[in-house]
Amino acid sequence: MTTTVDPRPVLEVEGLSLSVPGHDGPVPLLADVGLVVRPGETVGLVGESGSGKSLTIRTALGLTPRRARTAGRVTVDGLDVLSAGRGELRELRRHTAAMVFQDPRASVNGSRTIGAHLVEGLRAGGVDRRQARARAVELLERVGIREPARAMRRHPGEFSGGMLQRVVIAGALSTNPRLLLADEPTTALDVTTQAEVVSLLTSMQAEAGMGMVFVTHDLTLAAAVCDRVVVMYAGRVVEVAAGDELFRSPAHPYTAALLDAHPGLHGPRAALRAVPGRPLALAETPSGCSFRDRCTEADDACAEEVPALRRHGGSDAACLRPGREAWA
Amino acid sequence: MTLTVPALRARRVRRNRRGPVAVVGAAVFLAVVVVAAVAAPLLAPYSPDATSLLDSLLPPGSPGHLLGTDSTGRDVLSRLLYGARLSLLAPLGVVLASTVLGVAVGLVAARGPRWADLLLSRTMDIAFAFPSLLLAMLAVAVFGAGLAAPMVALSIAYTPFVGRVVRSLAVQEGSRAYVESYAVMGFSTTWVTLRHLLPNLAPALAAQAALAFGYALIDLATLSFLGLGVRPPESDWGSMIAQAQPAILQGLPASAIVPGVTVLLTVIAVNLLGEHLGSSVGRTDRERA
Repeated sequence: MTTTVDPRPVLEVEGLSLSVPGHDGPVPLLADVGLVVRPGETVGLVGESGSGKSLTIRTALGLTPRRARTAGRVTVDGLDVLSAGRGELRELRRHTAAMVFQDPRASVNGSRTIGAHLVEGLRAGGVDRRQARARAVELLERVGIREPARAMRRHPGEFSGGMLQRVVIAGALSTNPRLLLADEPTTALDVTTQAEVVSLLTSMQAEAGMGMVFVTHDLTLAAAVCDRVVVMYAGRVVEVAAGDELFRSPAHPYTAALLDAHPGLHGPRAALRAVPGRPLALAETPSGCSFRDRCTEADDACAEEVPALRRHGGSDAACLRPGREAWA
Repeated sequence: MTLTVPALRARRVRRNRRGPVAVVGAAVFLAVVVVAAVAAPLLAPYSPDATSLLDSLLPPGSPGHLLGTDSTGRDVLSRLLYGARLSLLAPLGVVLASTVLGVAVGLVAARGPRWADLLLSRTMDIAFAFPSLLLAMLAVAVFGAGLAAPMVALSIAYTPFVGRVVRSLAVQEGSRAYVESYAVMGFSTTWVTLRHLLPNLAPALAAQAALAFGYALIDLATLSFLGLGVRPPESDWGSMIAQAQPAILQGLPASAIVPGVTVLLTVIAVNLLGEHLGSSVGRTDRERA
């Protein structure tokens, strides 16, 4: 963690809060979210559906929901995204940051060829037609598509999900972005393909020295892939820790509960322990700690105020009594 | 796999109900009509305006006059061939104009700012209240008879039909994930709409245009029949029916029936083709999903 030089972060989210208008007043979706990604670093963003992880990275590209109100600061490679104009955002999306979505099938226009898709992206980045074609073939080869020149003429429907996700990754990397936002890039793929796509992403990321945010709901995957993992619950960050640290000794009861709910291959066979209750939206959380009514360790003190992130071992956790050893 | 097979078969059976024979027949018939219109001077045995009172009101099948003659002795076949030109060109013009206008209106409503959608959608709702034929007659009353005024009026009257279809298709297509992913790549809404949405809507638009062509053909023939469309000496199928009215009263309806049946068959053929286009749109859409 502590290197002598601290390179300027490619993504810096500070105290980000976001709400959308609802029938009775604004509905909060994110509260005080913080996130730092430096070049060459992979940061995992983990949480259940609706915890705000996708919303956070969309905000990094200026893709906030209609009529959303935001507070805080989001900086991508020096650009203040929340106050950026349309042209600045377009430049940001074309050159600085790229995104890979969950379902590759849905994220390309099915009626055009792969070649047209890649060339279009490159041309928008200011590359001329012939160079764009050559570069597209090269990119396809780099992401492991066989016979890339022929693949250029194929339609998305002719590729398997994993292969198409490789094509999408090629497209995302075509403009040499400084920041790659991967929004559950493997969720729609089968398990063996998942591993291939993940290793492709991480090797490309290391090669290019990009910063990467890896959004997933798979805590084990995040712990294996990421330098740091940020765990979100109900629109708030509840724990930040190095990947292996998080896995070994979770400091927040929610993280621990997530790990306990995951079936393991090793060790004695035990019944899976589901987290009691259901994931809540930020708007319906109780006072104080958002997790307290699902937490087995909560007491009256937890209801008083939202706990701040505090250092505990290798983690920062938003909990009054962090660490398994403190729990009954 | 075993689950999808019966489903596929059921779908195929349903689609084949409007058999390929009908579609092929419609295509062949339309091809013949188009060739007839283009090559009318080569095919027509007589000048369409050559009168011969001695040969008036000959029944179809008379020697030298395959489809008979009208009340002034003009050859019905020759008039039918020449009449095909205006009868096809005028609705084609209406369809082209209303499609271009409708696409523009529909895309702006679907993809533009919300106020533009409100404005355009409500304007289209109001335009729906006016029967297109009435609008065309009004235009004739204001600007005088002839083809130009009713063509412009019909083009405007058909625009909301196209516009509403385009709007709903574009809203649907615009909610597909790929549209957002192109926005994330830094492409403007206009670019994505024109380069990706519009081409994907093209098949559905073609089907819609075919149906509109049928309507326009009937509307324009109606206007000509009422004497509000094509002015003599030019003629189309509608004016041929109109000019055959005295003969109908004399009990010799052949010179009215021939152009009437031609209009009917052409419209049916165009609609069949349009329906076929529409169903293949549905098919590719399902394959894509």
